[in-house]
Amino acid sequence: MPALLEVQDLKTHFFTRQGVVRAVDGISYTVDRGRTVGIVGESGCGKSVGALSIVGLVPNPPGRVVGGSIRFDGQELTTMSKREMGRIRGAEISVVFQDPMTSLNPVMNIRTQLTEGLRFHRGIDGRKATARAIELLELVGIPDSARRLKEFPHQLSGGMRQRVMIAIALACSPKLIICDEPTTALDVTIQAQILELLAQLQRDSGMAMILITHDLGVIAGVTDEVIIMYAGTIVEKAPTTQIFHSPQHPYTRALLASVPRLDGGEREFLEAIPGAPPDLADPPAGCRFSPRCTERDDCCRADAPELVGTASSDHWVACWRHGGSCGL
Amino acid sequence: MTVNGSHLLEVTDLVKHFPITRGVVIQKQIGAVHAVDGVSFYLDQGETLGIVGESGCGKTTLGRCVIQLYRPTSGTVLLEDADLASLKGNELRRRRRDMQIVFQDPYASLNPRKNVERIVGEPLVIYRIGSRVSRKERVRELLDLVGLSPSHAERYPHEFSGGQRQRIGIARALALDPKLIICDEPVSALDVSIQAQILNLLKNLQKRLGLSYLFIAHDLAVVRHISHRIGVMYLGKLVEVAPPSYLYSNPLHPYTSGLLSAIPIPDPDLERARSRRLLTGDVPSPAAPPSGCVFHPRCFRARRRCSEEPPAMVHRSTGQSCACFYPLDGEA
Repeated sequence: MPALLEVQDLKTHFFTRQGVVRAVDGISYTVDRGRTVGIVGESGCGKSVGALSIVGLVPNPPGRVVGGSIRFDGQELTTMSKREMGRIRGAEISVVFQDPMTSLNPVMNIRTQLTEGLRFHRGIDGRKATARAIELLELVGIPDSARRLKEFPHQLSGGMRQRVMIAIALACSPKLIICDEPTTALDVTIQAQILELLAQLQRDSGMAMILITHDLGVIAGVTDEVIIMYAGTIVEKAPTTQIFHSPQHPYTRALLASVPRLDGGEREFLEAIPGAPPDLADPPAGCRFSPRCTERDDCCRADAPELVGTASSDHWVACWRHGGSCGL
Repeated sequence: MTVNGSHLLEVTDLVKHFPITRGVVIQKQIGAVHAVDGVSFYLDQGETLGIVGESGCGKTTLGRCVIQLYRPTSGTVLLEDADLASLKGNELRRRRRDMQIVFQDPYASLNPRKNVERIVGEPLVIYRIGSRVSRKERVRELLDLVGLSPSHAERYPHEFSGGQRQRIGIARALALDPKLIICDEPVSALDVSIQAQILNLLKNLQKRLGLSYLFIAHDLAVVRHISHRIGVMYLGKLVEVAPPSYLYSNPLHPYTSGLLSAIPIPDPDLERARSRRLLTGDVPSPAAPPSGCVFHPRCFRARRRCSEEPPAMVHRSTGQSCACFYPLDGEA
């Protein structure tokens, strides 16, 4: 059976006055049915833009998908009209955004926002829709749901609002749910509740999930596979345990070493990565991590490495240190 | 030296209430947000005290009350031998030289219309220290100290990345050779790779200059890394203070243990094998804190006594302090 989602060489660029910003520059990955894939990277690495490109939510102008293909359940998404995309978004693929404070409509009550998708995609309205809305709120763990339906977003706490966002995303039983930093705006105790909820919903419904985050701890607990992005490209992808136990790319290793850990031994100093991520309007030649990499050589500065498989077949790395040759 | 020992900073029973008012022309106070509600702690020279807690627990207000950006409602803030909370005007200004603050948001805390030289040199101008030439020299020295190039002095904040801006903020805080720096979430706006650079810089500076830090953050892993002692705040109160090794392996307060178990560990095996004690519910409003122990509505060990009277901070010989009637190492 083909994968649920196949992203091939996706390129999303932003055309700004300062030049072309290559926010996503040729990324490929697949998401199988019922699996959870984590996409990790620092701010500006293209992890959100890459995922929002799937559902056509990159603001155009200035952003545009300039190359590659996205196949979802047998359909090509990049060439779809807005109307066709509208029928998929919210029904087949839904999105949970980072900020529950701004992603709900402040002047619509919870019921209207929850049933909007049901009305539009499934033609369910009235009492049936209300019943489903109550069911959804109970599913995401909001007590006293009948009363909550009449409330407005400002009457809910941050954690509750994120639960409502998740309920909206689940309304039409999508095949794929994209969570873009779903817990970044929340406190840790609330984050733990939401992550637990997402994992449980994913297990029960069998939907696939893309979880975008900058927090390696969040990734460790929830995902099956991890994709590490740096400066618009994928530098490594592998099953979650392998990323953490045998990271191959110098960036992945440096990233793991730079995180202060709760369970870590007494380390006097963290291993910081020198420098800062590059400007994507003018990325460095060759491997984009090379200016900050401790293992770079002439090859790395001359030519960008491809993502290649390592000894273990589902572990992929884009680094000259791990196979391939640049021809120098 | 101080009357009561040799602490650099000693805060006793600090309270900060923000009034809630009603009416436009004639304002009437109808309540108060209990942002900080009776907090006591000390800080020694060369030591870092970390303050952790969730948003709205009062940790930022606490920092601002210490440096007198907010005047406390009551309580004392002893810096060496002077009570800052009762000082005013020139007297306070003279004392405040010894304390500086580094803010959370490196984008909002630097004036975009001033170049780095004027930003970092401003404290020197305010306190009329040195000549124009010697100030210029000092700014370059400070930039070098925080890992920036002296040639950066001519540039403006927008030309720098987040991590570099935070270095500028640190250089500014160091300009007057302070004894105490209040770091209010100095790394939470930064990416992890940059965060590590700034944490290492702060540790280095502490070693070289003998600084004390009051390090406020919401990230327990970050605080563990940099602190000698850690205070956990909940709803305006300190609920536990302990050295990191004790706090993380053997927390006494139920809230501390709930907070710790909520933090994900970047290791899939450990993370999945953990037994979690998830806290339920949300933090109550500090405008109407619960009776008795403020944590009791979310506490898994709460009994009747917890809702009736507030527990006092109990200090132990191990250096741990905890405000709980039924600490986790007691009988259940």
